[in-house]
This record gives sequence, C-alpha cells and structure tokens, in this order.
Amino acid sequence: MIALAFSLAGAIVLARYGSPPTQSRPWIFWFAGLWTLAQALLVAIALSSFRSALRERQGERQLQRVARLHRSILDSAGPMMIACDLSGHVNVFNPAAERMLGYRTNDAVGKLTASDLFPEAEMARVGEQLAASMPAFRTHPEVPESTAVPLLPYVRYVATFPASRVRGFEMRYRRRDGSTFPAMVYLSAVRSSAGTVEGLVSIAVDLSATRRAEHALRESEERYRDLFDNSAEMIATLSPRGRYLYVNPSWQGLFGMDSSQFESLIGFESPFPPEVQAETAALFHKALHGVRVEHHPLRLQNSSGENVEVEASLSCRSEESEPVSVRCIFRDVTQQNRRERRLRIQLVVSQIIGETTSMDEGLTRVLEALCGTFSCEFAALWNVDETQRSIRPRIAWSAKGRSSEDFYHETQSSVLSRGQGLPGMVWSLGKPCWIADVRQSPAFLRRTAARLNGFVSGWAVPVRVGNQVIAVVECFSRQFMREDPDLMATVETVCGSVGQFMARAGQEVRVRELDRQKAVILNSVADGIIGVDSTNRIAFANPAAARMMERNESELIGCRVHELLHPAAAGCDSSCLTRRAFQTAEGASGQDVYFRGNGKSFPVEFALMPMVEEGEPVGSVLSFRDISQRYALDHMKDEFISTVSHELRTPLTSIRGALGLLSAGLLGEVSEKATSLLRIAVANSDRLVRLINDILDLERMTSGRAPLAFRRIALEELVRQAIEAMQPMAEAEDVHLASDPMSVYIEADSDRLLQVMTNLLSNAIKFSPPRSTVRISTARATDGVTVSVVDEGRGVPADKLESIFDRFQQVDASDSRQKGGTGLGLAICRTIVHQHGGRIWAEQNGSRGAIFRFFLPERASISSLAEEATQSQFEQKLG
Amino acid sequence: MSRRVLIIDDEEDIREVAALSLETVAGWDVLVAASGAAGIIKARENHPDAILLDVMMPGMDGPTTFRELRSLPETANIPVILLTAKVQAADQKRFSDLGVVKVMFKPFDPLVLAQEIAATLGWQEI
Repeated sequence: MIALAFSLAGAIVLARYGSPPTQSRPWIFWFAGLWTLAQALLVAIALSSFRSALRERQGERQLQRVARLHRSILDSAGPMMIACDLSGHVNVFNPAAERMLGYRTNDAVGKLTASDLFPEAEMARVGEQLAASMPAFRTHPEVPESTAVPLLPYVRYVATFPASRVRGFEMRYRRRDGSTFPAMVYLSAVRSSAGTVEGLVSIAVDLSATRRAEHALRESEERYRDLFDNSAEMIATLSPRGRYLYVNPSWQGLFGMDSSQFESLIGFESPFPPEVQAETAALFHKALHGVRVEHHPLRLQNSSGENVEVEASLSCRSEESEPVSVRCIFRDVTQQNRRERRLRIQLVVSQIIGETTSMDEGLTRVLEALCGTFSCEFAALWNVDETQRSIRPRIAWSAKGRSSEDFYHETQSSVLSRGQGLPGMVWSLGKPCWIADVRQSPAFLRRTAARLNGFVSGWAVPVRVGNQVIAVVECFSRQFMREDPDLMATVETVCGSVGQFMARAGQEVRVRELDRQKAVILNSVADGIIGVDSTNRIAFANPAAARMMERNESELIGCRVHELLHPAAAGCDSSCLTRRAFQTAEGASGQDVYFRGNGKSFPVEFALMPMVEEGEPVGSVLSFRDISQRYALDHMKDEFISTVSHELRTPLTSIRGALGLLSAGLLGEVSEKATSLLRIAVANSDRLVRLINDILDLERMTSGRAPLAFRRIALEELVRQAIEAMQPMAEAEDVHLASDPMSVYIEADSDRLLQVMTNLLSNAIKFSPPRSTVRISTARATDGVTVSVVDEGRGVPADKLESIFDRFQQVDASDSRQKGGTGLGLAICRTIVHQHGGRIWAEQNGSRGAIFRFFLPERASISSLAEEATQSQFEQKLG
Repeated sequence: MSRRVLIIDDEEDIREVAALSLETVAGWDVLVAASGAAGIIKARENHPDAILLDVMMPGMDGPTTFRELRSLPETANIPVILLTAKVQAADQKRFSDLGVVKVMFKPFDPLVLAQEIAATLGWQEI
C-alpha cells in the first residue's frame, strides 16, 4: 500500500515537471529514481502477492494430501498408534490398535482414557521408571496444569528430551477382554504451535512374539551355560597365548581356584602340580598347532590332595587358519580307572593263579603284576610262621633297571617278629599299612637300604585265609606315592585270591607229597597192588604187581583183572573166589593161585578191598603176595612136623604096645605092684600121645593149614554125637549127661565143632563129682546160636575165666597130671570157634560148677568162607 | 580058622610089638618084613589074608609098596591096612585116596589092634 501510494505520488510528480531531466533540477532525478524503485517494489509486491495466493492454494491441497497420507499411514501401520490429550482421553486410535486391543475406534476415541488401556498400576510402574531415568540436574520444563496425574511422568519425559532422544520402553497393554501383552512403546508429544505439549502420541509394537523368541533364546543360552557350569567334565577355554578365558566350576574345583585366579595365570600348565607341568604344557602346545589331543591320561593331585586321573582332550578353534582359542576338556576317570585296574589286576591274578602249578612261580608273577599295575619296582611276599612266631620273606621281586640289590638282600635276610617292621606290623594289625616315605620312617627297618636303592614309598597288605593272616605282600616305589586307600582295597581283594591260592597250593603240595609217598610206598612194597575200576579193569598196578605177573605195568592197565589173574588155563568157574569177589565188590581175603605172563602159576595170599565213594562202589584194590616161598617153607614145616610126629610116635608105639601087652598080663603073670606101675606107664604114654596130637592140631589150626569144611549141619545131631562119644567116659566117672536138643541149622565144620563139644564135655565130666549132671544145651541168639555146657563141678575162679583158654593154662597146675589133660583143649576149642567167626567164654554157674558157652553165627563170615573156598581151589590149582 | 597077617615095617620094635599083639590077642599067624621089597616077596610067597603096611620106610615107602602090591596079580586082592605115625590131614587124605581099606594110626593099643583089623575087614572070629 505504501508502495502503491508512493508510485502514485511519483507519477503525479513526473507528469508535472516534464520530463527531460536536466541539470537544473537534480532532485527530479532523485525523485524519478525513487519512484522507479517504488514502481519496481510495487511490481514485486504484486508479484509476490500473486505467488503467495497461488502458494496458498497449493498448500491447502498439500495439507489435504498429507492428511490423507497420515490417514492411510494410520490405517495401514502395523504398530498401534494411539493419541490422547493431556486429560488422557484418546483422540486417535488406529486399526492396528483396534486389532490388538479389541476396541473399535468409535468406542475408543473420546471415550477411553489412557488408563483404560493398561493393567492396573502399569502406568504408575512405568511412570516411576521414566521419572527415575531422568537426570536430576536437568531443569524440567513446565507441564500444563491440565495434565491428568497418571500422564504426568510421561508428559514430563517427552517434554524433557528432544524427540531424537526419547527412547522406547516396554509396557504391558490390557485388551478389552482383560488379557495383557507386552509392547514396545515409543512416545512423542503433540505440541501446539507455541511449542507447548497438548497431548501424547504412542506408537506401540506388540512384543509377544519377540518375547517368546527371546525367552527361547535365553532358555537355550541358559541351557548351555547350565550344561557347562554343571558339567562333571572340567572345561576350560584358553587364548592362544595360554591365558585362561573361561573355566567351568568343575575345572575350578579340580584346582581349588576361582575364575579370577585363573585369569591371572600366565600359562595353561600353571595350575598343575610341578610333576605334570611339562607334560601339560606340551599338550597345550600340540593342540595349538592343530594336533587334536584326545583322551590323554594325566595323573595329578586335586586341591584336596587326592590322586586324580583324568583324560585330557584339547583342540584348537581357528578362524581363517589363525588360532582363536584352545578348548580343553578333562574327564575324571579316577573311579573308572580304579575299577578297571581293580578288575584287571584281579583278572590277571586269577589267571596267574589258575594257570600256575608251582606256588612260588605263581606268587612271583602276582608280585610282578602288582608292581606293574601300581607303579612299583620292588615287591616281596612274607610268610607268617605261627609256630616260630616270626615272619620271613618267601619271595622277592624287583623290576629290571635300577639296582635293588641292597634292598633285596636286606629283605631276604630279614626275619621279623610280630609287630616288627612293615610286614610285622601288617601281620599284627591285620590291615594294610602305607609308608609314604620309607626313608624317613623310624618304623621301617630297611630304610638305609631303601635310601641306597632309591625307594621312597611303600605299602603292605595282609594275605588272609579266613581270619588268619598267613602272609604279607609289600610293594615299594621309587616315586613318592600318597596314601591311596582305594589301591589298598584293591590289593586286599587281590590278596584274598592269593590267600586262597596259597592255601590251595599248600594243600596241593601236601597232596603231591602224599602222592609221592603213595608212589614210594606202592613202588617199594613187595606186595602186588592192583586198583580196578567199577568195570573191573585195571586202573593202576604197582611195580611189584607187574614183577610178580611178569608183565609191564603199562601192559596191565586196562586189562580185565580176572582174565589177567586167571587166564583161560586156570579153568575158572563161577566158584572162583577172586572172580566172585570182584563181581560182588565185597571185601575178601585168602589164598589163591595166580598166573604169570609166561603161564606159570604161583600161590598168593590176597586181600580185596572194595572202594566206596558216597555209597557207590567205584572199584576195588587188590593186594597180593607171592607166597611161593612161604608155601615152600610151610611145606618144609609140615614135613618137619610130620617127621617129628612120626619120629616121636614110632618109639611111643613100641613103648605103648609093649606096656599094653605087659599090663594086660597076656605075656605071663606080673606082680600087683608091677601091674600098677605098668598102668601108670600106659596112662602116661597115652597122655604123651594126646599131647603130641593136640600140639599138632593146634599148630595146624593156627597156621591156617587146617582148612574148615563148612557145610550146613543140624546142631542137634552134632550134640547127639558128642554125647554118644563122651558117654563111656561119663559112665566111667558116674556123671549123668543131659541135653536140651533144639533143631537149629548152622554153617560149620562138623568134625571141628564136634571136637569143641567133646572137649568141653570131657572137661566138664573130668571136673564133675560123681552122680552129678553135665548138661549141654543150645539156644538161639541173634544171628546165631549159643551152645552151653553146664557142670556142677568145682567151677572156675573169676580171675581164671579168661586165661583158661590160653595154652597150658589150667585152673590148677596139678590138673594135667591128675586129670590127664594136656592143657591145650580149651585153646583148641577157642581156635576152632574163632575160625567159625564165633566166640567162646566161661562163666561161673552160681555157687557151684562152671558154664562154658560158645556162640556161632548162623552163617559163617565171608572171610572164613573165602578161606575155605580158596583152600580147595588152592590145593587143586597147585596140584 | 587062623588068619595070616603080614606086617611090613622097618622098625623092628614095632614089628615085634604088633606081631606079639596079633598073635597073643587074636592068635593069628603073623609074618613080618622089614622093607617094602621084602614085604612084597613075602606077600607073593605066602599070600596073607591082610597086610599091615607102614608108610614111612627107607627105600620103598608104604604107598609105593601098596601100588606094587596092587599091580601084581597074586597080591592085588590082598586087603592092605596102612599103619602110620603121620597124622597130618593132607597125609590122611593122600593115603585114603590110594585105595587102602583103612588107615590106622600109631601108636596103637596092642589089646584092640586085632579087634580093629577084624572089624575093618569083616572078620567075625574075634
């Protein structure tokens, strides 16, 4: 307007004063200039107004476009977009918010407040956090008074920071149905043109899916961390320079150090005990250079000083062929190794024990195995001698290499008492002992020698059989070994087997010794001994048997025993005693004739003993003796007796005959006195004859050359015969003979039995007073019969009841003279009864008289039968 | 009827006692011989009713003499009684197996000797 007024005024001025500019009127020029300028300004203003009008119309269109754009952004945006005024009323609510919160826009806008969209206290919680996050020193802008209380911290927050510095934060939203979900909220302020905050806009992204993913990830990470942290395996990660980057708790536990202590170490090997540092350093170096180390065994002591065995696996992680880190995993194999070692040593020892026959060799191998397993170089086994109350070395073993000579000799020459030295201590305590340093231990007596040969640690374990310590095993190592109870337990177990082995081997030694003795006996006895199995084949034969049979021992084995002893030539039938004895597997003894390899026969005396194991016959043992010589001697003796008896009888015959004829008066008158003397001479020559007969009888019977002829006989008949035979004598003595006959059959030699009865009756009659009775009776007894001869004579004194059966023993020494006895009658009776398997005895018959009884078994015993059978075969075979 | 008995025994005393016994107790004719060989000759010559033969004699013993007698027809049927001082069971069995009619043992009772012989041979006269 000014410009316009000015230009108008200018035009007027110019029209009045004409125009060529002259020098005379310079102000015109200035005025014209100004005017032109005003015109130009006017034009410019006009142009500008026009452009501005144009722009205004364009701006309106643009605004409309922006509004549409905003609308479509709001509609299509994935995040929720919600705006509210300072009172908290919602004024923008986009479709994403509709979707997520379950409200329709119409229900939300102007009706809901911000507090409705969050769970109770959520706004306050987040608000407090926002408040806390704001620096205290900063002066906060004023917040409009109309701001609703719950929104205060939020409004303050967005008002404080420029938009670029407002950070998103996490809040939980509440859906219309009351359920909640996490969302990341980005807040900004709605400001007036004056810059004051008029409301808040929130853009929120649902975090449910993200949260889930995060949770899963965290879970997974935790799992791995948990895995490492709780792994029994010791895990460490190291830098290529050997610095510890990570150690899990197991690794820390092994060395008793925490993570920070590891971080300060300079090398992988640093935490290891000095003795394994070089080895571990080498392992690390190897892994670093790309060589995988797998299950490398390492022995070390853990933080508690226990021996630990680990398997070390190391590998290198590289990126672009540059080492990044070294992974190191140790597995504790202590228990496993112990188990394995225990099993292995037990296996080895049981193998040794199983396959060795010599005890010392076996024990030496056991010691060697123990040393090999437990890294020892010297071992010894000490024998406990309970009788000597001492313990002495039995076997010592030392490893090849460094000399153990001094220690060996010192050990070998030691004899310790109970409780003395290491072995004595173990013997006395009955439990293992460990001496970590034998060189320093005053209880260890061989310490000087141990020092000389470089032994450091030693231990000893008792070898028991049952509860008794029979030996002690000790081992020594040149390395320092800490006490290892597990090792002891293992060795104790092994020593249990050793004890059994020693006991067994001891028994075997005794068995071998017995075998040897048996062999010596079998080889040296003159008797032939043949063992046969249950099939009657020869299982063994001693040299004497082979010699007598004139065959090789080996030739005899497996032969059928009867065919060997009695070949076809012997013509055995079922009555052959040897055959019968073998077949019935019953014991038998007697005489027989066997045949040598060359077919010649020889007389034998044999005994067959059945062998029974657990009630089952398993064979028998035949022993026999060549009695050719004895037979010849017997024959000579028979001849001699025969001759002597002949030579005695011949003069007696003349004397008896002459006296008999003279005393009978057949050769003329003899004076009464001479007759009396002749009668005495006759009686005594008769007695002499009886004596000779009795002596011969007894000799024959006791030498076994008067065989009994057993057969089934009626005892009643025998009693009758005896009475008949003794009747004349009884009548002569005026003694009555009585009997209680009973029908009993027994197996006996009737002649011999008759001899017994007549002897007893004769004695009874002899010692009976006139007009008394002698009674012979029979009575059944268990398995046999008892025959009694009862008299009413003077009886037998108690002290003579036994002895009267001995030879030449009579109640009264004068009896033989007075009664004409020989003193051999009862001895003969006893011999005969014994030959029948019976017994004979005398009793007192009350106050008066004596009773002589003998018992005979119903069946004669097998040995007696055998004798009888053999005798007949014997005579027959020998011709 | 008088019996004739031959006694063959190397012991003169026994021959005499036995002969005396048989002669005085039974009244038999008694011939004697001091050896088996002599006995055989006497037996062949005299053909006695019975022979008492000793067993143990030097030279030809009783059993040999007996077999010889048996082998000769003129003596084969003469009953022979062995008179022996041997009482061993084996001997007895051996003798009885020979085939003699009886074995009698020394010493004998001179008063019953003839009786026993007669009983053995079934002679009725005593």
